[in-house]
Amino acid sequence: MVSLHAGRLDLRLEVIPVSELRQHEQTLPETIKKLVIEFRNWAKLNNPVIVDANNIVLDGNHRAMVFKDLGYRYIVVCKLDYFNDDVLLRYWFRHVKGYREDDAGRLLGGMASEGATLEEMGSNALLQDALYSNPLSLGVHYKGSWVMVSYPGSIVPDAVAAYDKVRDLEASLSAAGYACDYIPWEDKFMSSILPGDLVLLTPHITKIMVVDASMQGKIFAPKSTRHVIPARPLNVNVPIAWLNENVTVTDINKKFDAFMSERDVRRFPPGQVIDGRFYSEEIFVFTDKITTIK
Amino acid sequence: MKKTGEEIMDSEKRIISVSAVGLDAPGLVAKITGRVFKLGGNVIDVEENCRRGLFSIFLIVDFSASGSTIGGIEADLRGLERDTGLKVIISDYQDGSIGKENVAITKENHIVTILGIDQPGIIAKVSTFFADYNINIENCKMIARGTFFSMELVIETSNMVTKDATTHEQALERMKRELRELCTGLNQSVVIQSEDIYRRVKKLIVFDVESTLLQEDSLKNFLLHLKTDAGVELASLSEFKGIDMQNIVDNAKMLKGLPACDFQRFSNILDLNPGSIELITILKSMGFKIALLSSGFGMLIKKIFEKAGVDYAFSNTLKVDKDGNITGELEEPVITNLTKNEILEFIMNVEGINREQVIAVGDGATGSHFMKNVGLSIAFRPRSSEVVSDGVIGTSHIKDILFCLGVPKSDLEKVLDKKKQ
Repeated sequence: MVSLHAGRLDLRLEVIPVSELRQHEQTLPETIKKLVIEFRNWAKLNNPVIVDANNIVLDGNHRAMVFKDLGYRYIVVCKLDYFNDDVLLRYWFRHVKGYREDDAGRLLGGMASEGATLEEMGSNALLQDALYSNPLSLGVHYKGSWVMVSYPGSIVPDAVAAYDKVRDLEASLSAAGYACDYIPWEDKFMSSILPGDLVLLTPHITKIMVVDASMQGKIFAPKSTRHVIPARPLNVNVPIAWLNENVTVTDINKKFDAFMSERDVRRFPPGQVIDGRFYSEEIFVFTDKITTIK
Repeated sequence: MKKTGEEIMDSEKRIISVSAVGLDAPGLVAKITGRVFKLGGNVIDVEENCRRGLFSIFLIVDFSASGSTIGGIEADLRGLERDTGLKVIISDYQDGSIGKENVAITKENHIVTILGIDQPGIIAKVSTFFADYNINIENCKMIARGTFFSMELVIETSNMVTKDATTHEQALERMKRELRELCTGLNQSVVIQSEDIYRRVKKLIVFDVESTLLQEDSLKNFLLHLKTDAGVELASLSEFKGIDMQNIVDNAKMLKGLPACDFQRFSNILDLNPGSIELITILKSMGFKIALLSSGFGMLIKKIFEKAGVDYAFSNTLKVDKDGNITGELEEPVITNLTKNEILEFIMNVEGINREQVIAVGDGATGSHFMKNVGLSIAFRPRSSEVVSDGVIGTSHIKDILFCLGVPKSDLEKVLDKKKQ
């Protein structure tokens, strides 16, 4: 086991059986297909998936599922305390550009006819507060209106059902010819919405809801959770072939630890670019031992 | 034609050089080499060029296996003048290098790129300079011509005179220094690089952001806003002499209490030198990995990343408290001119490349350790005459770096036109 300390958060790198991974969100088939081809041809697993103490996959859901699909025995994970305050659960809002007014009326009318309660909140801030207080509700923003939509418990009994409802709404928008963009919630995004845009503010579910659902084997719709992890390890680069060896979990971890002890790690603060990706979190990058610093 | 006893020569005498010049047309190479083949010749070296509608070819041909006499071969080859309209020159060829495999190994070639505003006499003065050193110019070509001039020369320095230097290496360094001085006098930039296998396989280009990509005026405006709008009294704000981002980093505690969003807003003023994004885009399309090293803050880096995408970018991060105010402290490790070299070593390690495969672009100041011992180091508009680099580009266009990579101006214009469409 390799330990890394990122402020108040500890990261633990270890190898676990793939069968112990708990998927909490559905995967996208086209992403899986692409990754299967990549992993078949890759010699190394560069970055571990991030899991909580129960092996619920918080980041790297697609990679984890590909490992399952390809029949691997083991996978390298980065384990952390999900309930640490620095690990944030955020959401993907759905943004539809150029939404027609009559369609907006039909959308809200349809929700009401299903039994949902519609409540005008008056502002973004008030709607967001209300969504945190009512985590199974969702919000609709259109032309200056901020509406909270709450379904009865018979239709939306839990967090997974709340996101199933979002998925259904997305499907009906798609059927009507609208494209949905997935937008991380940020002040700058909310201030850039145009008057004719529709925004679905997705349910503000909690970490406990995510854990409870996963432990019961329930899986959220795609793009339900957005986990903001304050630190992550990169370039672990474990030979993939090792992860299919017929050895015990103890033995594979011994091998992994020996391998990692031969590697250097360098910490960088948030805001760096590594291998073409911008990291707004702290990063720990592993490399082969650097022997020549001139 | 049957050979007589006198005409049967030894193999060296049956090697001849053929050169031809004239107006260019399709099929000239085919006609010439076709005739050589028919005569039983084997081409052992060739160089062909087309320039502004003119054609030139130079061949060395071994006719040892030919059944024809040398006289007959020469007469036949002269017939090419009629068939092609070219002026053909044929002469005996004798060179000690034929059949000696190690000649190329003992050669010490360098690529010299000269660039700047065109004026008469540049080539004459530079070539005279090399002649004085007994340096052979093996190849010379224009890669840009017009108001702007750029020329690439391949020089061979193994027989260079050492003058009063004690070693060949010292003489080489002195020659490079004197060449820089000569070019500065001619208002030209010059970059000298070894022509070894790594010249062709450079993989990573690393830029010092503040000295190459950041527009100086925008930095002045940024600092002015910090002073006038946020009341930040940085030591260097009283006068703009020698200001650099390092001053702000060194004085980060002066930013304590400033809302991070205000600092971010002022940072939007920071801008790039014209052509920076195009340069990065072209380098990426040429297959280079791009790394940015900044001893400033991340805002500009993010801007470049969002506009052009880069492979690596490292900069400093200000600590912000829970209320969104700057604490005046920097996240570790702090990136300074001293630590940039360590970061470069780190990137090389991740990429699995060696120092010879790196091109470093900075201002070449003596503190720019990351520019030392790389495959090619270019000082862009250096502030001091004391630079640690293989060459200096004094022009105002950052894109001129591409000429040092042998990109001809015509190709560059084509790529830029394509991108505009």
